[in-house]
Amino acid sequence: MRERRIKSKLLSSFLHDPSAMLGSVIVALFIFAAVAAPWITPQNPYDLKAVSLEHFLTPPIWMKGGQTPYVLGTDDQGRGIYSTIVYGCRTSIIVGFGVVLLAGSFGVTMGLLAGYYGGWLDIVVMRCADTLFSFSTTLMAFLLMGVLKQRGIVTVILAICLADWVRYARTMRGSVLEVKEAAYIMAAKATGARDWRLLLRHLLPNAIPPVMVVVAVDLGVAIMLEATLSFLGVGVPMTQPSLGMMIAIGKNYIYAGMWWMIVFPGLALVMLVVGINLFADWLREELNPKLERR
Amino acid sequence: MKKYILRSLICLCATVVVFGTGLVPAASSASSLVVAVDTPPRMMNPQGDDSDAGLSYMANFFDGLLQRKGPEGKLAPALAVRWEHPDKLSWKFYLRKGVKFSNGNPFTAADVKFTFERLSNPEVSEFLNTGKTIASIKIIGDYTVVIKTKVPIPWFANNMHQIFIMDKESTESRKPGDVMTRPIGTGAYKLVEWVKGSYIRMTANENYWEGAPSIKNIEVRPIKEPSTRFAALVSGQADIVTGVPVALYAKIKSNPKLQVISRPARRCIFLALGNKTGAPWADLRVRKAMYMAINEKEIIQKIMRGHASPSSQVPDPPTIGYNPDIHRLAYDPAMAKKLLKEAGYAKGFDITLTGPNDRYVQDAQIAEAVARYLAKVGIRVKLDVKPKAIFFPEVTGGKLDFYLIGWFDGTFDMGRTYFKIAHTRDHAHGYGGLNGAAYSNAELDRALEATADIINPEKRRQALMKLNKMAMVDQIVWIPLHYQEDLYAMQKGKGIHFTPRPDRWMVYKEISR
Repeated sequence: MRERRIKSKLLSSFLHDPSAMLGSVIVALFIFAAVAAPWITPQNPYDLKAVSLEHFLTPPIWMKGGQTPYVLGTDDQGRGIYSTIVYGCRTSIIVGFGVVLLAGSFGVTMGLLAGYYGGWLDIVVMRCADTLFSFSTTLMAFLLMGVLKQRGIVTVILAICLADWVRYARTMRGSVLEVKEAAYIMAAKATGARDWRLLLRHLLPNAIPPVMVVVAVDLGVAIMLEATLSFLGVGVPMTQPSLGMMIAIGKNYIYAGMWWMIVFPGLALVMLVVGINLFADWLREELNPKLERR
Repeated sequence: MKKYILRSLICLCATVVVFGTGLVPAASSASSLVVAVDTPPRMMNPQGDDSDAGLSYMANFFDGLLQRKGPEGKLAPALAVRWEHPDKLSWKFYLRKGVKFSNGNPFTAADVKFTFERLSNPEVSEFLNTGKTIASIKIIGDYTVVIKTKVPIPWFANNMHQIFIMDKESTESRKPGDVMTRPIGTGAYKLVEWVKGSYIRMTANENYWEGAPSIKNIEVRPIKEPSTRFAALVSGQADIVTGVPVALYAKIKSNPKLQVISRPARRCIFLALGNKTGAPWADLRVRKAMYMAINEKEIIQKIMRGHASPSSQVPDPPTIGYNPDIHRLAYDPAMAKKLLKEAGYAKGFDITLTGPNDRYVQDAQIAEAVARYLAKVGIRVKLDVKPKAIFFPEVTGGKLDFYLIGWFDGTFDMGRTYFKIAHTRDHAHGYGGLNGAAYSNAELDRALEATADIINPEKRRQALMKLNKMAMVDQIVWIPLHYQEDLYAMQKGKGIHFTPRPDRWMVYKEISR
């Protein structure tokens, strides 16, 4: 009964928050584009056989010299900017969700165990986390990409996860420490519930809401981080689409007046991340117990 | 949400401030010059960095026994007034008298001996190959030196413009750290200040043996980012910039205040391909097919914007061994497919193309285009481009299969080139050190070794031309692409006279205003 009330309260607050709705519509659009990429683009810009230098550096279609089907123009290898953005969003979204899923589940597990058992486990995990936290995530991921010789989406996800799981672990641990003292946990303990039951049935569901906020924020962070790494040339390999890589290529052409190569992928990245953040902002306000609204 | 907007605005303002103030306009008057270059110096030890970028700085603070002058890079006297080659192994240099180092010490034969001995010290030298070949150095009086090599090296004198002579006394008495940061040489310029990551200031050596240089104060600003370098030029903060990206060529050309100078460079960009037994590309037909699948004309037109000329071999025309009878295989994807089918690879094969992404003009873009051409005849190429700092050690490691690289021989002798990049890898003899795909061909090795003691220039030319043809036509050791063009830009109408050198060095005594 109580649970349903919370859910309906969430839903009604969501329906009354235009910026949250706008955010989720944007995110939904991007996810749709990423999934449907082959059907909504005229070419696969990363199929080596499909691209030709013949149509390189074409301006957007409404400018002089623009050509169909290159709506937003082409880059210096003859890839359509629009198609590349759509395929690039695919990479962004795979990396974003991959990181959230992997770093999230690892971080949550670590936080849960550290928070519940305390003692040396808590010390080891949290000191590890503190050490990692004292470096900037970008730097950590950059260094890890240097160490991991292989290039690819999986490596990027791994590198970001290794640098990023601490966010989840810390939040989860804090939340667990709070919930642990609650009367119903004591009660469950008193009835002789086993540890795993306590952890999975009682602690996890009740301590997870603050982590959801981290998930939403981290999605945007991971997407930005992938773009940063690719921009710096240590992210996905050149033969895979990435918004960061497009921006890196585009920056060489700004002064040559070929703005479309950097502006459109930049806009796409900003829109995606702003969309996620609008949603995350709303979620934070809803789920943060310290921010009691109305 | 407002916080985000505010933060991004702050970031934007900060960026503008940093870029705006980072490059304070320099007072460039008639006797001074500000140059923005693409690579910073690694050190001020003239033997410690054998890259052309490093040597380019050193050539201003130091002199070699010989120097290279003029647009063709002709060998000319410098610290040695003349030289002899009395027998196959000996090189006799007669030194210039009355030359002084920047600390006042006189230049004598002892300094030459000291410098050449220093070459083989791995702690301070990247010229180990040259150092290792020297058997003895004999001093006759104060101004004559006889250098004996262990094996005949016909191109020994050709290398003397990049072995910079150091002062024995001050190099030995100073701490290593000081030697690495403060150059003491006989050169046309003296270092005033080197602020790492910012600038290098130098002032003219008024007592220079060739006469004091025309421009008294030089400020060199290494700016790695091409567009930032371009911005420095457009805003008038730099007089000359090197390494103009091809993408900006048209833009600079249309600016009435600026002038672009292009010069055909000596550097050939080519694809090295291994031939390990069992690999599809060990088959000559496959090598030919890969060659014929690449549309070099389109690469030059589109990726290089016309700033390159097709090459059919690695050495450039002024190099001994260049053979005008070698021609490029025509671009013919249909023929390439046929050859692949004949060789039994109708369905193609997998190969990794490695290459740098921050070394040559449009390097990564060329590699990407090559991958695409090969894909069109069915060869599945995995592209692996990376920063030069990671890529070059892999070349030295010799574990690659297929990579893009550039080369020009500073000594103008193809024999030296081939020993480094075509001879079977042989650590003991120092052969094949840059043969990164471990190409190995016994016949070619024998022919190459046979040229080592041919000194007579004409005979040597003939022998090397034959060897070159064998490598490029009969065996297809490499797939040549093009000679790149060096692009410079400078302020127009400021009375600067600047002719680029073939080796891309910026030698400021050659510039006047």
